[in-house]
Amino acid sequence: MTSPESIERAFAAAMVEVAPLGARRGRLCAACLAVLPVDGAAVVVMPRPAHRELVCASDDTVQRLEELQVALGEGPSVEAFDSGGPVLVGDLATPDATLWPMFGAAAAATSFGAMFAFPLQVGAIRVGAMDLYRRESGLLGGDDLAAALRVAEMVMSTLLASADDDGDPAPPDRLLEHSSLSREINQATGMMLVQLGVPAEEAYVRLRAFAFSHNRRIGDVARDVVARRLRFGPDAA
Amino acid sequence: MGFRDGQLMRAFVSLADTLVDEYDLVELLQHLVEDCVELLDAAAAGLLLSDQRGGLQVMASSSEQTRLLELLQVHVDQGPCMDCIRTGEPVLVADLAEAGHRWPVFAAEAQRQGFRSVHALPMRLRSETIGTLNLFRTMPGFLPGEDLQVGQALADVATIGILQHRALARSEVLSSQLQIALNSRIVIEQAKGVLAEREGLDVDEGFARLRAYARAHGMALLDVARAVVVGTVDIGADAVGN
Repeated sequence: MTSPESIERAFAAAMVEVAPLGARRGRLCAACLAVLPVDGAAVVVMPRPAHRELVCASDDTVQRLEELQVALGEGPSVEAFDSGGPVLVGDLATPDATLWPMFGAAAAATSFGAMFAFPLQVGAIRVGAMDLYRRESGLLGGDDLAAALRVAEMVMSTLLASADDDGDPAPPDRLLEHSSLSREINQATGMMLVQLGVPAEEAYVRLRAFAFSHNRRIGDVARDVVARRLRFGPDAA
Repeated sequence: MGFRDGQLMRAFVSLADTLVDEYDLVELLQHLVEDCVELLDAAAAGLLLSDQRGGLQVMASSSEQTRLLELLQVHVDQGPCMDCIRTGEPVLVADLAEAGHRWPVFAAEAQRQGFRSVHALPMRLRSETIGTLNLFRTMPGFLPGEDLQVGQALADVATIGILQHRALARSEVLSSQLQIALNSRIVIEQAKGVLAEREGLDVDEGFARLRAYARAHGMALLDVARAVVVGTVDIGADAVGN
């Protein structure tokens, strides 16, 4: 079984070795392909309600399927984002017409046999979706699912980090330091959005950026915020 | 006995109620651990869910102390709850004083906090174990068989609660529901932070405020929490109700 740490290291390495060029977000799909047993990948962000934006797609077929979902507003990726849970489709060839009538027919005509869509989110912060495609039909096994969930967290981390024009000083190996359920980090995010008067997503990015630039662990900084030893004002750091 | 039968019935009726229509998972699980403490011969209860990434997350706990004990087990990767998740079988520990060889760190810490026995019950659907319900007692000894059965029945109801909504038992649905459940816990924590800061509360008082507001307005706890984080509702002084 692949350990979570080894997936994180492999992903961070792939971001540099497999796809060394271009902005960090553009390399995400190549990194997904390098570390997961899939044949296609795409990352979509949704900066505003009903506004979907393709960050990267690993090939033309994937790109077409993604654009179709954006245009139609239906498909596994859309549902993953809306429902907040992964949408795992083991058999694209025989689509359930009631679910995604238009997308299902288009996907069935491609050489992909399965598609797995993962929401990119932390609580009320919803960033987008990561979509994985496989030629073979069938669901992801337990270990592969675990790896995909980990990668989704890293993709989200990268997106949040590069929201600020790649200005986030986080080294790749620290992308996943936030274990997503760490309670203090989530509480601190809530406190900071009030202190700073910004949306949750920005508060979370500021928390991370503060930790990285002070070379501290995010959880430790969050604990200081919750204990009210550290405050963020609109003018501070 | 008669007294408890009545209480038991109310607990199950209220759980069943929450399962009809739109229900609130976080509220349901919190209810469940509180019911356990009230109905069973247990001083504290906690509930852990698998995050499917090889980790476990605390979804509900009857007290802060229990939450920390659950976290400790996850952190040191040892303890009855961890064994229960791994095997899918109940792990019953009549006396923690004799469990030091099995789980040195956990047994010592649990006793330091005044607990003497632990019962970890699996939350299971067929072959998959999605979590564990854990009952802590301050006295040594096993729970009476009847309590154990009630505890397991409550754990089963919680499992169904998590997996309900769509066709049961399909692994892809299970994943989806689990991830939604875990994320809803994050939303609650974020909302607690917002309230703590805005109202000058202790973060844990924030939870009580959220619940009170949700009840008073007939809203789902999760919806209230999300609205608080996004800033579309200000529950400020409003949250007095029951």
